[in-house]
Amino acid sequence: MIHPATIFFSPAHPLFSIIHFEFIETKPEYLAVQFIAGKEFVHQGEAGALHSGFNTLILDSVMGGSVMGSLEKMQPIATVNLRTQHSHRATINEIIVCAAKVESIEDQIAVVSGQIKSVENNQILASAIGSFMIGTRATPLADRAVEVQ
Amino acid sequence: MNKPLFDQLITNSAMQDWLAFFAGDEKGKYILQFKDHHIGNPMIRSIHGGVTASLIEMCAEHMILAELGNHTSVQLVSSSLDYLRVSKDTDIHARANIVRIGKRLAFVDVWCWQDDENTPIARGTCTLRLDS
Repeated sequence: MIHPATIFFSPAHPLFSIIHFEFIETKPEYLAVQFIAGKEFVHQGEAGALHSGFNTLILDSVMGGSVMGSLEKMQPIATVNLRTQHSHRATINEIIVCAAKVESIEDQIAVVSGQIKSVENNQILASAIGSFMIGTRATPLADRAVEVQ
Repeated sequence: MNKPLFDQLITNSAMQDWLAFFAGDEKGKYILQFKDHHIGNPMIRSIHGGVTASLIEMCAEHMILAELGNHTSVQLVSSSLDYLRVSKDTDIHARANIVRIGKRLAFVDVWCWQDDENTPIARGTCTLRLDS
């Protein structure tokens, strides 16, 4: 069965079109994706260090992706909160793996843990815990004009 | 600190360019100028939560640098973010407030909104390590 995250994380996506990624492991409640730290996110040029926001961006994406895989039918999801501990910044062209696991789902709220590690030395770059709402009621784009009237 | 000096602390980096991050019209205010690559959910054209998170983290870092000067190095230790409303495909405004600056750590709160400051889309608390 195709993991829904593999459809969502496509090169057609505005964000993932510029981030080089590869799925490593896809299970219903677990997702591991490998990324190459891209030059677009460098914040300290001399050291080639990426901004912490790159880690947060990746964690939010992969953690959300793991929730998609745990659903029986495709539903919209949204991040409710995200608590991230930042240990190290990725450096340009570093290969990293972000893994996320759905810890629980209760009353349409999924609790997810996530971690980013360097492939080269297995060092933890960041770890996070977050909550995601399943079945959000955001107004589809096509309906927004009607809503405004 | 006067406004021009506050602006000067926005140094160029690829990440700031990618975020389209700018200082606002007063100290502590910032703007993320919306770009298509900020989209997280193409179906409703909402901004990716990680983009909002990056904005909050960058505001917190900049706010501490603006307060202490560029000779200080700041590194984010942790961030705690709450997403209060669905965002849309327009600019995000942010206001950062320093909670405390200690000898080794600093704490900054950031609130983000789009249409109206009274209807925020996200808030965050960042802890930063200070290295002179």
